[in-house]
Amino acid sequence: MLILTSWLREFVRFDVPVEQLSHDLTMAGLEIEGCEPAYNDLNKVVVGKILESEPISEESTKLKLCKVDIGDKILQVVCGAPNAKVGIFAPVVLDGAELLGGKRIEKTKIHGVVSEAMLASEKELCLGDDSWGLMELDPEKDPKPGQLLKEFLGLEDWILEVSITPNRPDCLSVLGVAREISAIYRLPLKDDLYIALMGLVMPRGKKAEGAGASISVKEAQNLQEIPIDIEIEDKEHCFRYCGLVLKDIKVADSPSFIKRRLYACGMRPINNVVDITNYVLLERGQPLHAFDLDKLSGHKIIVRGAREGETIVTLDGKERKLDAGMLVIADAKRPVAIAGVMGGLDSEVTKDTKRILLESACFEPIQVRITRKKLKLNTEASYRFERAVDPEGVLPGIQRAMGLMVQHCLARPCGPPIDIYTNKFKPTPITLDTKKVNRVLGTELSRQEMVKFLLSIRMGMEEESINLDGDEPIICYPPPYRSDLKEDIDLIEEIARLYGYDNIETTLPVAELVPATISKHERLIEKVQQVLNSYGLTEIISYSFCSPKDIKALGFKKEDPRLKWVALKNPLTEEHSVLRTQLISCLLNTAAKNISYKNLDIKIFEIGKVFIDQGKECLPNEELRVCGLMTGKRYPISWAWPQEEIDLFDLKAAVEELLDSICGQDCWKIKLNTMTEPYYLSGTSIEFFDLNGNLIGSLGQINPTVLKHFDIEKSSVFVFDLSMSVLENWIDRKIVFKPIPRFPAVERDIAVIVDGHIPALDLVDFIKSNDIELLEEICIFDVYTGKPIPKGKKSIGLRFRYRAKDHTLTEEEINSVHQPLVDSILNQFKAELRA
Amino acid sequence: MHKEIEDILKRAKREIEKAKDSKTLDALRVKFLGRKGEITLAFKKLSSLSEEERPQIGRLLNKAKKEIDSLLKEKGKSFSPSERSLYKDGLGWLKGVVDPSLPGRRKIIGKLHPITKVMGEICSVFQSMGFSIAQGPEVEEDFYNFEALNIPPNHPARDMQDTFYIDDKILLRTHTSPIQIRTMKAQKPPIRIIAPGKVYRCDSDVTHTPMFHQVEGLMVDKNVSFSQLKGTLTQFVHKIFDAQTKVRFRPSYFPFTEPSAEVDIQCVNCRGKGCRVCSYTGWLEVLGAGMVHPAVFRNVGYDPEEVTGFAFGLGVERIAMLKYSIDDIRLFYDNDIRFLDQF
Repeated sequence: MLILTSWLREFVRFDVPVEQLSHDLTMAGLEIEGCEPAYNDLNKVVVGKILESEPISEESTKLKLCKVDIGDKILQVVCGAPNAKVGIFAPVVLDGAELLGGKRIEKTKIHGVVSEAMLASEKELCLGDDSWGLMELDPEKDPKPGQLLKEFLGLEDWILEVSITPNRPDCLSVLGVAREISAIYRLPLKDDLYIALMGLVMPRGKKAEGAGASISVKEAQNLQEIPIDIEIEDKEHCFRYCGLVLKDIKVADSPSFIKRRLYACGMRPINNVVDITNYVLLERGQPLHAFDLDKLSGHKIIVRGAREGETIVTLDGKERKLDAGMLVIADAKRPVAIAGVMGGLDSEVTKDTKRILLESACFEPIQVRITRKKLKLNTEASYRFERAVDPEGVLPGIQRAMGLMVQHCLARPCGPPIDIYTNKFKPTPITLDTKKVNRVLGTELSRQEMVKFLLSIRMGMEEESINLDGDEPIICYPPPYRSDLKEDIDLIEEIARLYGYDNIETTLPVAELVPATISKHERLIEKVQQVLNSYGLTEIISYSFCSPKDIKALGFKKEDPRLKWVALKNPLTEEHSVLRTQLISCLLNTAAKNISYKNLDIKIFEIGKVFIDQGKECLPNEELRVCGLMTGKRYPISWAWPQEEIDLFDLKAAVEELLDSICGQDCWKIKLNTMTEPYYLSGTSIEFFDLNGNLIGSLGQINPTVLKHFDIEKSSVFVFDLSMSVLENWIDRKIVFKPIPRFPAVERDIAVIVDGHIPALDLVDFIKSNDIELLEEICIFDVYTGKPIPKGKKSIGLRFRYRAKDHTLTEEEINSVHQPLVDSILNQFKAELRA
Repeated sequence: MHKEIEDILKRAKREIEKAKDSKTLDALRVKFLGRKGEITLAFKKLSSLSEEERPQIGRLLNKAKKEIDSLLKEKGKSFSPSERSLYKDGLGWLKGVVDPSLPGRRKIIGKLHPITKVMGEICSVFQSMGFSIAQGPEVEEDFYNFEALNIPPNHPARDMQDTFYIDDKILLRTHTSPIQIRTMKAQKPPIRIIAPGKVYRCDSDVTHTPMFHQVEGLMVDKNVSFSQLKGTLTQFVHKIFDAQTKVRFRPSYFPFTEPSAEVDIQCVNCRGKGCRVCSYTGWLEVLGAGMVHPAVFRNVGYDPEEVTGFAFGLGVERIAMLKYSIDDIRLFYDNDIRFLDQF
């Protein structure tokens, strides 16, 4: 919200520089987000002295060619003002200036004569309403040619940008901010109109109550010069409705002070009637609406729920369908305004309007909010109504507008305002325990100090509460505009902010020394990050959203749960329209993006949640997974090694290390399975299982169809995908120390030639299945195909390490185990020993 | 066998005598005493000899080995002192054998995402104060995300957060605050938790991404005060930035805390003088905090007259951007390797 300091000064005479004011308001909870000088439209307007003034030609005696001294040079200006005489001082608008409302002034030709600038009247500068001639500057005040006009006139004003939190609708006006300033600096507030409950100190037992008009609705109706009938049908959603008929209106441009203020606060002036309603809205926070009385059918106003099928064309020219129950202002026939949101075009005030009905009302906030959300209409009025408007501000609002209209639109009221106040404001007493204040804040404020702060915000309090000493509670009655003050904690906050958060001492909590627990979950994540980092994989974080197309492109079977995604009702883009059901597509997209950046060597991983739909109105199943991807060169280019492409085993190494360090060595298994994930290239993938047979995840090479979908033009892209929840079961495995062997081991190497399709894993599994006690380790140290190995065959080099716990092995002992083992391998796999 | 050994010894003597430099000597050492050297091979033949011969020949071989070794050493000493000192000082680049100026055999170590790094730092500060980590779902019920936090339907505060909805009752959490509710519903006070995690709001520009990270904190006990909230967060800022960083608390509004505060730190870029980073205010907004609202306590079945508590929340991206002078939040989720490699 934009607000002018000069306007604030009309309500409270503060005397601090604007920087100080901004700081003090910010520290009291009204954050000042910006502070700009006003009158920026006059930055290129200077004082000029007319040195010569001659008619531009013989025919045209009205227009004069003037030589104007502006200090550093003399300009030639064409001017038609009758008072453009030699010797006078007048404002000069320089080339390139942009005046209030957006009018640009440029060097131009008038009747063939060059005019370098413009001599201006006060109306043209929006500094007054006289347009008869040039604005003459008082020579007594020592005007200096070239001096900025605003300096000469002493025009100084500031536009503050105030950020108002949703709990403080009372501050959505000049008056509201002025009230805050008056509380902060304990200065008197000057507001002649507001009479309700201001800072009342009440004798005990007296009930505080809203004021309302001094005469009844009926009396007011009878006093109307032009009969008008106002009725509230929906009392639940309209707390108060106040109408005033004004006649003899002269619709015209607004006076410049109103225009200038509206512009400064970001509004466009329209005409004096509409501008005054806006002016009062900005000044007092009370939304007003003016109807052209002669366009209201039957001189009747009913505040009621809209009927099924009713429509209205709003002021913005759009036809809107109304839902039954939306609150409308209707005349005898049809809705003429959407209550609290926007008026109707049919009853708009135009230049021909002579009589108006001025409306000032208080509507129920939620109703206004629902309506404006449904209609997607956000107006200054609805913004205030949905946050709560002061019910006691309705009458002062209409009175202020009436005053301005009488003065500036020549209007005459046709009787007193008709004020229907169905739901009269009654403050609810709040009991404030002074000990609690200090307990919650950690302060040692005295009762007197608390009372002082409460009085500064015009809190009603019972006399005894104020004067009593000690620990008796203080009974408070919040002012009607403070609908946010409902319970003691609200008052504690008021005391805290007026005392100043900075003045509250800084201490540390005192608590039992319970150590923080670090869960399995956290330890697992940290372990996974460590291992993958050490294998060269960098962590990425991608959005939890993805595109259904990307999921489909992975080729899941119909019944695969990963096709059951959760869709967003209001996605930002199609690319981000559903929650991801797996991480693979995120990694592939990240890889594709990096390749497009020419980052060709990619080793990345992500730990993140995937989401599987569980049906309507159920939370989806969230599972944490870890997924990695590698492609490009194995190592950075170096003198030390040849440039080699990454293969499956680079990635597999990382996964093996991960499983070893989490599950333990030999405490997980792999399985070759042609039916693993559909996005793998057939025959390149394996699955990992834990000792309980639970699937941990898989690893493989991405198939070309999937790569094509993700626009990856590489062929060798490898990924793994593991379940963190299965791994979590093993993170706390017990580590038991194995004694370091005391006797030497003996190694025996063999190479066997087997059929090419036999997995090395089968050999190893077979050897292990023999359960030979002396065989400590079996290792594949070589795999070879090509000459002299026959086609379709491969040679696998195996190293056997034998060791006994309690003695040094003899040749005979080893041979007695090794030879039969070798024979059984040859037999089992129809293999030959390689010479 | 005797003869064979004598022959080896003779040849060794002759060749060592002829040697002109230490390189030749090295080669001779390998030739006679190396793993496949003549003496070594002769030792291997021992097993094929008879029981009687074996010890005798063995002794001879040992003697020959010692003699050759001492001859080699003796001859080595006779070479020029300059070459000898070279040996003593190492092989060095002077001889063109090793070039230590070459870069090492570096394999790349992966990096953690900057958000993970900063989130870890934030969490460890609070963990050291006895706060434990709590978790909650990223897809939440309206109840936990809003209602239980004193944000009923149609509350204007809902406008402060643009929510991604799944359906009328289910949404992507807009803050980590629902974890407060889940934790308090599951356990009794005292409570000291932090809840790090992803949150979502439908907003996307230079300063907003639809997904970002928050860390939420909650402490509930008897007599927890606003003054202690100030102390805890001041400590935090001093640990994450530095102990000279000024902290200020100013009144603000969150429906689930009261009194509520925005916590500003002195601009880390200009030290409070005013610059582009802090929009010339000298201050940066980094945390939202406050005393837990009694309505929230009532919603989880705590008695607000019995216990008090404070809660706070901060944006991890914001802290990371300040720490590393990152000017565009979208970089975090672009995952350009050239960006990620820098942390």
